[in-house]
Amino acid sequence: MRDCWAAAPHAGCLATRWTPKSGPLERRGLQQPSCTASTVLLCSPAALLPRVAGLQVAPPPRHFASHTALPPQSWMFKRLFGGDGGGGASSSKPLPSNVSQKAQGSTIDAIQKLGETEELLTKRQALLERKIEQELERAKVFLRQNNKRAATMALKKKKLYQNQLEAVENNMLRVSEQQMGLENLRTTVEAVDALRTGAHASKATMQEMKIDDVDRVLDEINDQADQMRQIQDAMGQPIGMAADYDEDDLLGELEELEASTLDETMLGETAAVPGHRIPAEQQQQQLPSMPNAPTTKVQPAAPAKTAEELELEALQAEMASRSYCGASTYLGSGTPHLGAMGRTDRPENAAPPEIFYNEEEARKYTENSRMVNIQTQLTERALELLALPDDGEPKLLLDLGCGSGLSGETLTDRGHIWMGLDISPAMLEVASDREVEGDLCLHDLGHGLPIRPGSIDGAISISAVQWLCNADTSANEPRRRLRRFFESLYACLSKGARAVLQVYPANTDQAAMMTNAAMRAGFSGGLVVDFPHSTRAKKYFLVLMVGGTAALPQAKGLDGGEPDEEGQQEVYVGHRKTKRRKGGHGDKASQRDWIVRKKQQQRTRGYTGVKPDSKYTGRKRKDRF
Amino acid sequence: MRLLCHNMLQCHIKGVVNGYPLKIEAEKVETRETDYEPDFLRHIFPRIQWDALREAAAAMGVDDLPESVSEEMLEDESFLKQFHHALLEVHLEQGALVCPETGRKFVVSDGIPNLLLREDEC
Repeated sequence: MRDCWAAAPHAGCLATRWTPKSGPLERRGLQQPSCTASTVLLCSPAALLPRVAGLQVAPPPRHFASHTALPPQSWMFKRLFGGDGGGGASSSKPLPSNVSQKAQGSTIDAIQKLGETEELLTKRQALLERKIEQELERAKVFLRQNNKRAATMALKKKKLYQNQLEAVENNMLRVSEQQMGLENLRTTVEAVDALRTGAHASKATMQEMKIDDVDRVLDEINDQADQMRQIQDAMGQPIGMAADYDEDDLLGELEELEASTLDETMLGETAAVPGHRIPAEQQQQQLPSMPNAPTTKVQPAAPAKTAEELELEALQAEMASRSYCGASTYLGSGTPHLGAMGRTDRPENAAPPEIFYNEEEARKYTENSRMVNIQTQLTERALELLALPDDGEPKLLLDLGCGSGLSGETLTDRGHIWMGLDISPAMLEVASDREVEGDLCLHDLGHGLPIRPGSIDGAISISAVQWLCNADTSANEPRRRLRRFFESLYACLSKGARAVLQVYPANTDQAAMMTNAAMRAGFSGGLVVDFPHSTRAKKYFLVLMVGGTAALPQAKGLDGGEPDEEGQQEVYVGHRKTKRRKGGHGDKASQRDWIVRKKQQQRTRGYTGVKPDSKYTGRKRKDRF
Repeated sequence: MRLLCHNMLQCHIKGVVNGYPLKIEAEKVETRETDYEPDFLRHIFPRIQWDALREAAAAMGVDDLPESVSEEMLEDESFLKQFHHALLEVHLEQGALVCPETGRKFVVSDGIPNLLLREDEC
């Protein structure tokens, strides 16, 4: 150690021996020495540091200090280099890694110390064991010599050594324990440190990625895709001579052609059978070479085979005409399993509405509060677009595709009288259970409306008319159905009335199909798209007017805004119905009757937990209920 | 199904010319009270086919509607009450609606008429 000091040119005055403290020195950094002694350290601690660091190769054993007396001048060094790392606070801001370095250093030293102590203890243990053995031997020797006294002395010594051994072993145990604990701690600390760095890094990366940006990018992509498709459509339009032909005429001709080919196939037994009989005949010709028994067996089989084949042919022909489908396909026969009926993307692609909306779906649909909210909002917007005269008079409205009456209830809240039509019996059952005020009819919109002309003040439809765009049998179907629907709707509306249909078109084709069918039926108006810039909030309203030259209403959210969660101002027409759902049906007896009837209904439906009827059922409670 | 709805319904089978009004075959009729709104009654009165309403009401057991009506009767409170009762408070729960031309029956169950047509009818 002395030589290093001799090597330091500027530190000539510090010639005394000193005991380097373990650890803290290398962490001092640029700390200035706090010494006020007369000895001046002419070199900077930084220059000193490398030499000092060089001394840190092997930290001294723990008890080294106890063996050497600290020279009096070492207080100087203590003050120069601070205490046990207590003055080692670095001035720089502690970054996450630096803190762990300090802690790391001390634990490493501690572990090393413990390791050495353990070694020492082990040596001592070995020594003691040897001594014990020795004494035991000596005792035996004395015994042989009949020197009882000496033997006892030897045994006493042995006992002493044994006690010491025990103590040493206990210490060893403690030391090992601590060592293990420290090592565990160290690994944990390192792991935590790594995690912290990782979190820090990921936070930095996340700053760059914002969900709004992603949304915007997606919207842009969708818009561009739409535009591209529109361009393609525009390019794909037939030009010149081809455009002059009337589509409907052509489709009608095609239908007829299909029908006639189908007839041919069905009636063409004479054509089909000979074709199939030939192989049978050939077989028969081959058979005579075989014994008789198989021949007779085969013969009845042959005509059966031809009949089967005929059926197969007919089926194939039918399938061929069916397979020319429009917007979507589905398994038409029977109810698909619920797994298949699950929403792949749109319910319209799963099954026709009367099958898709079975009891369970109907219940789920109506109990879903989000669905209820959406339907209410859409209905209110549709009413807004309906622009009924603001004279406080209730109007007679149609709710097309009323389902379980979610939209109808909003109509009732606004004081209107309405009639609802829907194709799903399950949904209508839910509606009648909820005791909606409107009249319900089980009806298929594609058959045309069964309403006499000029009788309705307005019609709304929420999320229903796009079901008409689905193909059941042939591509003609949706067009024909839409045409019948719009023509009858046009007829049944009174003068100046409007129809507002909120739809979810699958693509621009469907939207165009519906709008065109409406225009051809005589309506004016068009498609109003609310929030056209947002993929989630975009809503399509087909606003149709009977006669009149009113301009199309303004869409919402054209400036790119999002719909706010607050309700808009509401306009009430007529008397606001504030009747409570249950118990508002008349006198006490009929209330109880209603309750008992409902409970019985629930029991037959299979709801568990319906309490049995008693004298307390429907009894009058205190007002605070 | 209320008589208001019935008064607007007509048979929509393809090719039927005289599909209005549908005859009512009532099996179960219920009466449910509802709020009386003279504004609506006055508004809807011009559109109601009175004869059809009277006949249908008779089929449902409501006999007290007058044979011929005019606009002045709308001022009369008692007439309005009768009108209201017949139009909005009497419900057909079970029964059938019959097309006058083809005789096709549309069954009414649980208050909901089944107006679905077969393939050949539309």
